[in-house]
Amino acid sequence: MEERLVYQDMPGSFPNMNGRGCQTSAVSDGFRQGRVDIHHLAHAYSAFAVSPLKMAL
Amino acid sequence: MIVDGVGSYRSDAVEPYPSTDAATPLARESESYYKFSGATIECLKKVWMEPDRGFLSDEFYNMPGLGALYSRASTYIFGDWNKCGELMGLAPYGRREQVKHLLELNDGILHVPHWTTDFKQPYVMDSGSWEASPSMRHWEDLAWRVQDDTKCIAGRAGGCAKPPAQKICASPAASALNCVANGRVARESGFENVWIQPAAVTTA
Repeated sequence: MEERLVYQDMPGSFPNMNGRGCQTSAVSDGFRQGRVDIHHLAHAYSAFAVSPLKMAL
Repeated sequence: MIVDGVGSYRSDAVEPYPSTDAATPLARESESYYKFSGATIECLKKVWMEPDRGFLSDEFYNMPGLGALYSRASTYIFGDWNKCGELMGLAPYGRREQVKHLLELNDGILHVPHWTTDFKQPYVMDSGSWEASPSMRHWEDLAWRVQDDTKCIAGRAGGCAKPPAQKICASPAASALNCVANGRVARESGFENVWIQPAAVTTA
């Protein structure tokens, strides 16, 4: 049931990041712990991390 | 500011967010607002989409959200929820004001009216040439409406974050590819700086 809820409409949206050199961040920590439930947080982090901004809202 | 087709279930969202942004366990993320300062991330607000049509029709694109509406219209026109880019490309071919509003912003709250029987010409797979379909004019007009409603609402996107003198970092998945809406955000939302993530995609 849990897998169905997470993956039914977007299989593959969250690849397994274990062992790909992830260091420390809320996003990579989540992947290492096997979590796949941070979709918007992942979007936010991936935008901010590559932006030229030091602060953002 | 994250404007997405669909995100996590509320029951699965482990990140801290304001307790006032309540929803039922099967609600899905629609919009999220974050504040970044160095390595610190704070969720300021979440807007959830509640299941709209019951368990047997619980696909996210039936839910009331901006990104979900794009996927609903994409499914209707192309038979594929992930053809939002094609929907944006079809919009310039549509005629003005031929389709009723599909998004409304009242007192800073986004409302998505129910999908009605006005829309009864969905593309059906293997039903013949898509390009030659007699529904093409209707599809073009619908695409125009979705795009026009989106860009009108995008210009008021600062409502949650209280500009000016702030910076905004936007990554709404593939919705970030909407150059017209991005232009409205840059010119009209009142933010000091706007950053749109290049090559935005749902894999974040």
